[in-house]
Amino acid sequence: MLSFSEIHPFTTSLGSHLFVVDGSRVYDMDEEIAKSIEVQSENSILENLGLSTDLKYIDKAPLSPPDLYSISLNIAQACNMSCSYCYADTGKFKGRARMMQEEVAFATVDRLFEESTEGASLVLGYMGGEPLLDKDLIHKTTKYAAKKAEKTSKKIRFSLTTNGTLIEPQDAELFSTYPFTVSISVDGNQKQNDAHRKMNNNTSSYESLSKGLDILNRYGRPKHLSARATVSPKTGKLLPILEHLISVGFDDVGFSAIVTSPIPSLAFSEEDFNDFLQYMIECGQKTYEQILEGKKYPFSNFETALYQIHRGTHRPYPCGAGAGYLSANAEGKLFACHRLIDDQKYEMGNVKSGSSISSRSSHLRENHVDNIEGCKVCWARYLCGGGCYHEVSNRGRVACDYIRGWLNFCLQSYSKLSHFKPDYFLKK
Amino acid sequence: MSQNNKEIKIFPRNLTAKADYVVKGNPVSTRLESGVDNCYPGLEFDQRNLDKAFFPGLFFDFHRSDGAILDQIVEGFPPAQLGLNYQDKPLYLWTVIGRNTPGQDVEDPIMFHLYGLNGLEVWRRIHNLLECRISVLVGPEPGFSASYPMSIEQDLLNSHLETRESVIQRDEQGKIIYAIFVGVRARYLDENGVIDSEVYKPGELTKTLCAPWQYDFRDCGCFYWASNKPDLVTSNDGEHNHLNFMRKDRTSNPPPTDTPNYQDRRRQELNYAEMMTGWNDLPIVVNDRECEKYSPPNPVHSELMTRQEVIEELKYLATVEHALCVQYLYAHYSLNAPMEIDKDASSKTKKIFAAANQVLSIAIDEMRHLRWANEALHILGESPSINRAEIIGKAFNKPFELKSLTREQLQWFINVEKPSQDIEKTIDGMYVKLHSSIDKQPNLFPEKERIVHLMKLIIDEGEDHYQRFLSIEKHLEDIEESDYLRPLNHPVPGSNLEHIQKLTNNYYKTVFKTLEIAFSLGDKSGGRILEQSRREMHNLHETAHYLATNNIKTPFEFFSPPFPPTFSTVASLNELNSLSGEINSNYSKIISSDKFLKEKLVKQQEINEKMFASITSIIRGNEK
Repeated sequence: MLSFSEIHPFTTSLGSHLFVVDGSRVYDMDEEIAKSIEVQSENSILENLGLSTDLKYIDKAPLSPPDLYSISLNIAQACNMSCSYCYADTGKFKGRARMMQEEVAFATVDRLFEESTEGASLVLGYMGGEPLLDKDLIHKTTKYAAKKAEKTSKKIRFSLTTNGTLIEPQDAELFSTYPFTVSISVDGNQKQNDAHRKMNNNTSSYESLSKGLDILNRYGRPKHLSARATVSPKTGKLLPILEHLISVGFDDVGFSAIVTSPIPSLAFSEEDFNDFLQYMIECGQKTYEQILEGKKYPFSNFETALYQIHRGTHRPYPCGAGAGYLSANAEGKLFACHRLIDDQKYEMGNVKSGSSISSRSSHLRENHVDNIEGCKVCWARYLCGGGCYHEVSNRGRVACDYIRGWLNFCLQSYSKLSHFKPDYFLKK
Repeated sequence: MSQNNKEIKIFPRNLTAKADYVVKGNPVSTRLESGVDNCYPGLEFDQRNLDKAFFPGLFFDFHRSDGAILDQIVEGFPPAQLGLNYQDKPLYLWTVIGRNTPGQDVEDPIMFHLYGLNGLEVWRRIHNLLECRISVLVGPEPGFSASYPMSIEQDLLNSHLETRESVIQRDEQGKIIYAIFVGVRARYLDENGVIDSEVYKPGELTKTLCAPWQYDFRDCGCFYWASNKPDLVTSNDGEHNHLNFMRKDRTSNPPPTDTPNYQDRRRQELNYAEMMTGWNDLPIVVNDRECEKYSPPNPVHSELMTRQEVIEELKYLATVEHALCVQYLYAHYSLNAPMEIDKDASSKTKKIFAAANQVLSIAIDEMRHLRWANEALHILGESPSINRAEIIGKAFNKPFELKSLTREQLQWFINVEKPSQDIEKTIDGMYVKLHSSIDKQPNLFPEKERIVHLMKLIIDEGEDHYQRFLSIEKHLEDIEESDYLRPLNHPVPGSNLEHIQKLTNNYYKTVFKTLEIAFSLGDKSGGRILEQSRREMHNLHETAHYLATNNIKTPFEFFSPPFPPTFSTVASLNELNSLSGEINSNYSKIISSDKFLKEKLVKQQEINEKMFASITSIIRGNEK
């Protein structure tokens, strides 16, 4: 296949398609056009098809730091587990274990309200470590933030990422009373999960989180309950894991490959991604078939990608880190995201005196995907955004072929689904 | 974009692609047939003309009250081939079958009965017909009132559904009883997407609109052509009232008088064709009277004024406007008329009320002239001129004086407003001179474009004032002076009325103080202070009327000493504050004794407090 930087032609059983990078536009082409593409330069292709625009969807101007819409709190920089692959040094982020104080948590909430737009819909995230190590603080902070929102024009939602082993009835009540998205880290069935996800007390983490799920089901489910499975090169096929986790009753299930790990053999090499791509495609294919049959099969990596392609999502950054999203460490220092906690390179002010506009600006200036060698000629750049800052800063870009392969598959699936099952996108 | 459209075969799939897809050409909503009820003058074309050719080979006319009539038969199409010819006319549209909604069942089409529908209503049904097989039933009686057996419509339906053949049924004499034609609803556009020039001749789509304008001139309501077309006039010698301006008979002596009956009236008038050729024979009308000839006034020749002279004169004229305004107001209050007229009032009261209203409207105009003169000064970079002239008109040399509207005073008003070519003497004439000095010396007046129209507005309204004072004279001619005037006296010292009189005078002063501020701020106050000033004028008017009905005069005492020539915000704010204090002290002294005082004054006080607060904040805001 020819390689382009401004377009990406692809085919499906329906025929030929064209993905136009600027604006993430998807077109169908007839065969004549598809053939003509092979003998033209990119610019003349776009010109001849009437698709080149004077006004670019994305130009090279970096984003100015927008108002904040989300801050996550590292409630506990400590954990009751010691997962072998943990990127966060079991929550300590290479430092000493410590807990966030109420004063810092409240100040973080105040900071989010202070630096957000009137009428904004805000998200307060609880991260760690394991945030439920100080559930009392989560309860207090949630109530504090909800009360504060009532007095303003702003709305607030909450998210919590947890290993699920410490959930108690009063937590379930909190999650169901306030608008919570709870994300539970779980790697598969008991055997798969417990292989790397070790409790400090040597019990089965799967059993503990199963109890946690029971409590949620009995005392109150959060608005959205998702599963995040971490995949190592040794995990093998993913479809059985997906099947299992969906059967457990999660609202969505997603996979995340280990790119940085204290045990190097657990992190993916470029070659490892080849198998991973095939396994992911198997899951995507299964999901595709289920959707065609009108069934629910919430594989979040796939469904999120389809939805973004449908909307034509295009952005020059991988995520909102350092833009509308920041993360506070236990002392209230602000960092670009929860994975970059205590990394001085990504420090961006603190909750007392405010976020640092200058570090956020230079972060956004440096990381505009059109300024990154390699990325700036990749057709997938406005869907990928250049890759996770944390992973790139530790490993470089090792997953590019996987990302392009996965997005190509998603583009193909989107083209077919939007043809055979257009209603699916109306529901979103 | 490639030159050959057929090469381009791409189709947008996701949302950004769909939103980005640019189709060359106009959106579908601009297509001719997508206009909604587009039949009326002033629109881009008359859709009834577009739909005249809805059936292949036949042209219909929808511009009728009795339905749609067959207008033309086109050679080479099935109706003509079946033997339909012009001897068969008149034929009207009786019934139509077709579909008007996409997705409608072909086997279950809709039958449109056109009985009782006028041409426009028939057209609406025709207009909605989709491009598909349609059938029409025509017959010799107007569709509006045609009566024919149901069996004919059954024949129509059968033809439409089964045989798909056209039928012409004739009686023994060969006269058409009815005819059924089946065909495909005609398209408006040719293969290239443009109006089919074989079907529509140039001008045909627009012919029944305002184009040519003579049609519209004849038909359109008087409010549309108001400035050019009177409906009624009087004869040249003034002896004959109520002549139809557009009457075709222009030779009879005496001329035929107008009639209020619409149909008769239309018959009296020039028809469209006559209007096309004869519009320029319609006479010039001056002062509602037909003239045999009219010569425009000779152009004004006089020495042009310098910039400084223009400014000085404008400043003076502004003070004259103030003086006249107050004199007219005083005259208004002197007339024995209520503030609002009761419908059962005597004819005498109605006449006095009409006169009083005219005087008031002229006073309001003078207030506007004061504003325009000050706007002109502001444009010229000068301070406002708000003071009141002591002497009115250099030529008249008449001192400012508050007088009731006696016949003598009325005559003086007529004289002062009389339009004159003697530009050195009258007020109107001075504006003419200012206008020409500014207009002809753009080098001295780079602001010319912004000022000359203000001068022209004042001149035009001034001419109208003269006419209006003459009409006031007419209203009052049969009424004794002592009957139409009120005695206006001073109030008893210390009485409620005296406090109200003082309050009224304070309103008067506030009006002019706020005007001074508004004029000096110009655009910076965005008209907000003028709005506040207007509220105070209403207060003034209410209390002055109350005084007048109690036979008490409004003294209109102005500031003493008058305003200094340069404006100072601080001084103005201080004066406003002291006025506010005086007004409040007046309120506190007035003892509520009747309905007016109870209701109106409470409201006025509220308005006043808001006004002072609002002006203060506007000024302070401007200072920041």
